[in-house]
Amino acid sequence: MENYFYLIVILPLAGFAVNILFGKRINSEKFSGIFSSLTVFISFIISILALTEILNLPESSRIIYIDYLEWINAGSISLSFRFLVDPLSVIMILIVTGVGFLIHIYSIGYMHNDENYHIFFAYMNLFIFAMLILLLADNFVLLFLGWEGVGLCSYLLIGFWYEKKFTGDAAKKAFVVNRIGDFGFMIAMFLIFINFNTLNISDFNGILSTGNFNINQPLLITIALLFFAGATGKSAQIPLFVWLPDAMAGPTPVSALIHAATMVTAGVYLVARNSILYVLAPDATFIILMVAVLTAIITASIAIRQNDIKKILAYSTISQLGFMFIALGNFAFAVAIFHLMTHSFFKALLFLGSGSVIHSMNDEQDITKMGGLKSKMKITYLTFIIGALAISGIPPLSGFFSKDEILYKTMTEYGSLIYIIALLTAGLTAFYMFRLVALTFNGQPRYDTEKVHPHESPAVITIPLIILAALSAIGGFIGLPHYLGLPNLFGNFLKPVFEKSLALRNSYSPEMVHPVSLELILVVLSVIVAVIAIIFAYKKFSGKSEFPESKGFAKVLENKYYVDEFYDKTVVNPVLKSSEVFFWKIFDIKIIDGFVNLFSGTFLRLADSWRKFQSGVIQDYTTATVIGIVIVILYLLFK
Amino acid sequence: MIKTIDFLNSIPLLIISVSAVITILVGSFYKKSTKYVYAVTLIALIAAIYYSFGYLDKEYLIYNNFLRVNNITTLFSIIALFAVLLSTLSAKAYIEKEEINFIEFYSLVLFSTAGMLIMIQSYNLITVFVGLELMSISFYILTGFLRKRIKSNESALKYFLLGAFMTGFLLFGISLIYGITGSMSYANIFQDTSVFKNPVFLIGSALFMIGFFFKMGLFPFHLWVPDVYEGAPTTITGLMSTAGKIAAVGTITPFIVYTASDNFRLIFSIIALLTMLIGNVTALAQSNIKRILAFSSIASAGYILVGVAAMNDLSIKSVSFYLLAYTLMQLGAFIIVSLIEKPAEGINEYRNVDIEDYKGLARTNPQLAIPLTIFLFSLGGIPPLAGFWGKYYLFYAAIQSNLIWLSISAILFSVISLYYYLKIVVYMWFNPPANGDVYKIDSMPSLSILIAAFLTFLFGIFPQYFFALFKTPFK
Repeated sequence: MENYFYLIVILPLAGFAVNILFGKRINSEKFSGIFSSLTVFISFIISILALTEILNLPESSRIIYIDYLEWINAGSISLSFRFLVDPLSVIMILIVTGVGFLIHIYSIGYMHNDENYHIFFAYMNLFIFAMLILLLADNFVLLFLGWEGVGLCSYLLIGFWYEKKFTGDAAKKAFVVNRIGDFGFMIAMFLIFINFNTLNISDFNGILSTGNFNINQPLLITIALLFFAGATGKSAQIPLFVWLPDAMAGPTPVSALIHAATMVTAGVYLVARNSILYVLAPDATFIILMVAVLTAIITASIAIRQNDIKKILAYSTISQLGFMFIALGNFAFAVAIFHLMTHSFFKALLFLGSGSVIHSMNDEQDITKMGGLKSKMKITYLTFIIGALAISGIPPLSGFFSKDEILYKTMTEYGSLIYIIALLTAGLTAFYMFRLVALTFNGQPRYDTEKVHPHESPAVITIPLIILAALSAIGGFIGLPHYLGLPNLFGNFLKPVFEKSLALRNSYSPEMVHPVSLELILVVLSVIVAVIAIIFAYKKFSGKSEFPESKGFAKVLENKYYVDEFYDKTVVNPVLKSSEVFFWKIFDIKIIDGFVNLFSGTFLRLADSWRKFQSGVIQDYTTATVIGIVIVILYLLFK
Repeated sequence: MIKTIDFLNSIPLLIISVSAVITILVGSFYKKSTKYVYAVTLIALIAAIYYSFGYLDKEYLIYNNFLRVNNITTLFSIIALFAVLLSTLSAKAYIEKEEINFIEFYSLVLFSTAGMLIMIQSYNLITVFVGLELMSISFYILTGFLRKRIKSNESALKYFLLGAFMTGFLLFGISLIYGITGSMSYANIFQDTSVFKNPVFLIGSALFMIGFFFKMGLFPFHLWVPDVYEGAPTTITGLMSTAGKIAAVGTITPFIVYTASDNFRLIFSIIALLTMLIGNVTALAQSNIKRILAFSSIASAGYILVGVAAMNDLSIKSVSFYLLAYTLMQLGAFIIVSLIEKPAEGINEYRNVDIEDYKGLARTNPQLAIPLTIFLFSLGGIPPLAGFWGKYYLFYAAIQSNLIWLSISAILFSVISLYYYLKIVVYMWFNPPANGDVYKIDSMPSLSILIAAFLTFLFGIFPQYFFALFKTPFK
């Protein structure tokens, strides 16, 4: 595997380099789009090769380390470009390159006629590169490099249409908010290095699994929470979720690739990758669960009162990420990754579908101004319905399997209260999705039929939709629940990764055996809730044409619980104010600049006077030399 | 008694010395063209580098213990040969432009190179002296090689007078050491460590080392550097400031690190501190780019001495890495300066060497401005370039020896140095062009710039590659 595997990251990087350096000179949309899609496609092929190679190995040796280059070796820090190829990272790279490739293809059509076409593809390639580094890295520093790399690409792509002020602001917001989380990540790295004297992920996990650690050591809780702080930034959880809805200002393929299917799941991956740490710090894991449950329900409730098609999907993404963290909070690591995968299929599908709608509606994003598109965009409509049914958890679509397993774990691990909240969230999900479907595709057109002529998108756009719809529909079958009595391929494949952590978990909190009937009851219950929510939403919104101003709690929801306003009041404005009054006008200008100017002025004056020593007269030079020699001799004699 | 095997164990030195003589012979047959001499020189240098790699991880004493071949001497020889190769590659265009395209130029370069190799490999105070003089005398002539230009003559004379003056001290030091120990060979001098308590021996060693401190340009023996570097032909300046310095450092660093006791640590630290201070601060007030680079090379000598003063296991490792990084960036910068320089119209001045002339270079000559920016960033110690790791390892070595105050001052001084490096960068990128000149770049100079820039990146991103060259760790 070593002899070809490095190409998986090199190729997207080459795609980036070629597009950014020569894209303008080549000046061909065809070349830029096809070349960069091709690099991702080959990376996808390599991922498949890696998968087959791993499947051919016995289960116990499915964790492979590939050492490429030594990177930094200083003191006790020793870092290398070492890839960790195990079932977890293989699944992740398959998702990233596979879905990434489809979205690249889609972008060829979507970004058509954009003047910075080649730059768009350059950034997309750079993103794939950074994301793969993040997923494959076997040390925290390399992982962090990828982590920051995807953050940078996210920033660049949100602000891709930078002529509009709004997109620039959104990009900045995403960057700054993420930085808060990254701070936690860095502190966690430092703590690991100080206390364990390593930055390698495998070494760190190895040390943790020696059994020398008590449950809930303060140090481990701190590290676990700091990593989770990083995850709340990247994966948009409370309190750092505010950037993701704004990030929808970027082009729709970007929202689909980065802000739904791949980058935002980095936090989930980080927690799953360090599963042993979270098993050893169950208190921290419980906090994750709490945060995740809150995030899921709050953002799902916001989504039911939004009118921007992409904003609804953005809040839905946050809510679904919440579901993944709920799974992690219940120590169901494999289930979290399973939901991550199915979510990346149906959410990419929904976003690309919304892009197709927006495209044909001349960039209209407000669903109250759509309606009746069902007959005009058949493929988009049908694929969108599949995506919506999948996310709502209707059997046998993929979302049903992954979501129900999470709900089941919630019930068995912490009991009914959290289960009920999660179930309610699932109901809300079905509700807002079909509100969206009903308003967009059903009823009568509410747009100006004279000016706007919706039409089906070209094949470059619809073919990715069809493929993703197929994946959303059947993708769940690889992770069948055990009550069906069939093998759970997905869970078995991931087993070697989480074996140790689950054994550890069992040692202090043995898993209870539950009757199959409980699981069946829960499944039926959640399907009933979803169906009721869908029917209710469909009835309520299908023929709706009036949208009166909302009042009371609805208004609070419409305004997203005023979270942005709250942050503005409590954090942003005080910071801005104090910057303006004190930090800028007094601290920066007077103290910092004053100090710097004093310092530099002194040296410049010194420089001016010292250049006189450089008289050019050779006698002066010899005198100085002799004085120097005499001082050295005197020192040696009398020291 | 000299054995046949001794010749086999000193092939690079033989290649260089023999081809130095051959160039003169070839030159007397082909008086008109320097083409063949140029080719002989390049081939000799490449062959010498190639054979040098064969001596890695070997250990010999040759020619009756007069010379020594081991990992460290080979390492320094390779770096020095590499510096000579890079500057010779680019020199042809320059000497043609200045109309000093004579055969003797190449012969002298090769003679000085032979001197460097002898210095680095010597195991005896006599051979040190012979090597040093061979290198120095070649340099004196090369400095004055622009014989029609007063500045060049002046600097050659200055260099020669001060060099001769310092040679006196050096010889005096050698004689004191001989007087105390009764031997010239390193093997005998350091046999009995009790001599380190003898003040006469200490003074002798101090004078010996000061002779090399002069060549390295350490305070207060640095005063010649700016004048000579400014006056010498620019490619020669590049050669002296890199290869010459490597030879001097390579001669005394192993000497100091493995033999000197703690007696010298404080004095080295103080010299390092003052050198960094004077070099970096005086550079702030300069406007001639050759002088800026001269002061920057003084400051670099100070950084090197920080690593030497550490006198621990990391010293040689860090010093040699820094020397390589320094060669790449300093020589790269000088090559670009030599390309931008214009042939004199009068007889005195070097034209187009003021930093004002670099304004807007990025717009008119991006192929020069981009590599120069890389070299300047590297000199300033900005990651991920080789210069960053060079400084890092030096200061790290000092920290290991508890010279924390010295490391902190060194870091602060390299912050100051950013001012004059970045000033040039700012001039090149953020100012309107001073003139619309587009400079002609031959393939050979661009090759050496390309190599230097590539390696600056390579060793910046993978510093480990350098150390991986040597299988056995440095002792």
